Amino acid sequence: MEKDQKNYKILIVEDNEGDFILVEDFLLEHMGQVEFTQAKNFQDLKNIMEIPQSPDQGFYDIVLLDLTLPDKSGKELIDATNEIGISAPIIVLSGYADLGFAIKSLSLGMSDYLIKENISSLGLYKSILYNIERFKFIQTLHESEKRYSELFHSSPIPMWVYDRDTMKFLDINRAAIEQYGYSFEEFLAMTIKQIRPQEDIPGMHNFEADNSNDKYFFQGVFKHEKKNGEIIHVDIQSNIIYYNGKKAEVILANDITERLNHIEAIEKQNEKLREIAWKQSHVVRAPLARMLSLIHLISDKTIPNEEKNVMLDHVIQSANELDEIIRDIVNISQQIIPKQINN
Amino acid sequence: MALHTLIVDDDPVILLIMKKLLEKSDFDSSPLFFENGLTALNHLKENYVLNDRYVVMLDINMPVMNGWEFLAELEKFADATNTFVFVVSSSIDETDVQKANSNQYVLRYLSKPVYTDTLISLKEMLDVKREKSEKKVSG
Repeated sequence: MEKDQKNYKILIVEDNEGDFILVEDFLLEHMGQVEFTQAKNFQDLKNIMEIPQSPDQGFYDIVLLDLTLPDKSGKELIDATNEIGISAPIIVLSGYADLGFAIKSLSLGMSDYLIKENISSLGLYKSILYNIERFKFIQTLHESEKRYSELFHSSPIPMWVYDRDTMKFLDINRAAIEQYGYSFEEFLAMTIKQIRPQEDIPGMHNFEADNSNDKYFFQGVFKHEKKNGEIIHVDIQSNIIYYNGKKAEVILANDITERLNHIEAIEKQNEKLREIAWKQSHVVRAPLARMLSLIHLISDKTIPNEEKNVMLDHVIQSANELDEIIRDIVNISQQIIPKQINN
Repeated sequence: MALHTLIVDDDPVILLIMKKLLEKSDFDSSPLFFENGLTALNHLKENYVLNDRYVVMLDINMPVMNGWEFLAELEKFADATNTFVFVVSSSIDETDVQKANSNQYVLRYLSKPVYTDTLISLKEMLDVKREKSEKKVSG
């Protein structure tokens, strides 16, 4: 079998010189380009990781950790090692005597364990490769989870995730905390019913029933109640997701209260404008048309003067009527203008 | 084949004006006046005969029964071949104009003020209509 020619940087934490050389020899059988570093005790390991002597010191592809060191061993050693925060997979080397604890070390964050008496050259090589690859994969997964979590938490639109069975909030972003006034912890102790106005809750059951057919996407406008009791109108968009193994829904809640108020104000203005338009066409023209007809007749030479005098009275009456109607319209118009200034 | 002219308007000044204009234009010297749709409708119902001709000058905005309601009631007994309606309104609202023009009895929508000339041209219009229908009967 040809040697692996990739570059490896391996840190061996081993006080026993014989064991160190053995591991080194095993690895050199399969790897052509290895750079070994030895730490002889825990303090040594800590120094290498925390006070690097060269820029690339402190970065290793893998760490082999003997469970029994002169200054620390067993659980104490692992806890202290975890505290350093080494960003490389760690393989525990242990004797038969410590087998039980070696297995347990996996649950404490160690990547793998090997029994010294059983180590073979190929077994060690395979374990190192396997753990390097697995570590890389887990790292990528963590990064992607972190990226999505950041997208969620820093989104300017209020968002949350809730459990579809219990209705409880599972996660809430900063914008939602700001919008509703509840803290993250308060939210976690609440169900989504608690941000709906009391009178809307009975109707909610229908909405849930409608939604139980697992529609992938939902959108609608709802009334929500803030912690301070203020009612807001929100445009809700939701999607079904699986959150920590639970069937959940992610919700986007955009506050559109201001927009709706604005539309309502405009509609009220339009109503007034329609009223004015109707008056212009139906009411204003009545006395005006009457006046035009009367003037038309008054200018007719064949009509006797007594009759014209009566008509003239009617002209004056119509003119007064028209004056009153115009004042009325001006009044309605003024009801619109101050509103525009206020808004 | 007598021609009856009915003026329907709640404004007494308009009735006075219409009376003068009908006289001057030779349209009709003895028109009948009604202050709302209902009184006009009742008169028409009692006196309606198929052999006579009826011209209604109809205002739209009136109390008791307005012009639209009057037109709807007309459908129950009057024939559009001898009953002609001129809607005479001060409204220049396009929706009113369209609504009136789509009615079978309405010959024309007239927006006030109405002048002598207008009535003369309406009279000619009615005369042409009569000649046509007489030709049809004789032919």
